[in-house]
Amino acid sequence: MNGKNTKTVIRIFWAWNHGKEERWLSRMARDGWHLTAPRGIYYRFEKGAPADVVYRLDYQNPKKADRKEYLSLFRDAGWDHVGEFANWQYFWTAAGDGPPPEIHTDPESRMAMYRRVLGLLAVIFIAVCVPTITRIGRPQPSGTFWVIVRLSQGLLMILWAYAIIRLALKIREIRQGRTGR
Amino acid sequence: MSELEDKARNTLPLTEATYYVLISLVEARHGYGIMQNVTALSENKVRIGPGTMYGALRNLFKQGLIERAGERETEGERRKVYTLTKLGRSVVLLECERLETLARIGREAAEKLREERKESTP
Repeated sequence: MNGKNTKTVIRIFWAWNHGKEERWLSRMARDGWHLTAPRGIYYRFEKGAPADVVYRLDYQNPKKADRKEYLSLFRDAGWDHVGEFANWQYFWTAAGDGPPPEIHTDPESRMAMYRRVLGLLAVIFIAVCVPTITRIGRPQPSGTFWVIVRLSQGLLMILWAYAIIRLALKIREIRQGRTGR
Repeated sequence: MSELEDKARNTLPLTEATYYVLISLVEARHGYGIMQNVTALSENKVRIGPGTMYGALRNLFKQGLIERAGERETEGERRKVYTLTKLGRSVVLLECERLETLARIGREAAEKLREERKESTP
């Protein structure tokens, strides 16, 4: 049950477009809605004073022993950890007067982050594709149900391939935009 | 050439962030200590964010350029402290030599260009 002071919003963002997600969360905070729990496409907010804050997402899965170090590094640098979902770590900090603060400050580490996302997507893609492809040409069960299953499998594969391509393009874009080296 | 030096040479050139992190670890520091030191060393020109810092520490550790040197208690919290390994020291020395050589060679060209500019703009 949601009281007046909390609300849940459903929104979908692409992995390569987390900048859009970060800006949306900042706009919510300016309206006084502060993120308390990111749950994939569900975002839980709590009502508070409007604040000018910056959100940043990191894709990282620190192992248990490293986790404390990872979080204290961010805390020391002035970032609060809001929560995580599927290795996406949500941080926020107060917006200062200067340019918006960043958690990744060089192209190498930005590329490394997208490569980690890409790696996981590729593994899942292979896991989904291999069983689907090996069934091609074999006798198929018929009926509306199986048509729907196969269609949704195909759709998922296309969507997944699209995500992989967009991420690869993003990495290339960062690499080509590299200067001063 | 020693095996260590060969290995060290293979990691060159360093990225700017990696270079700053390694030269900060001439003294044992924890992650945030490195970030502060880089800001100070570069006179505010280079800032390393925590996401970049964490990735750099992990990579350098995996490559064997840095090692853990225990923990240090600061502001009521224990933080892991890092120092350079033998390989890391070798990398810093070689990179500094490389950059010195590049700067020395470039200086002559830069002098020439400055002269030319002076002559062409009366």
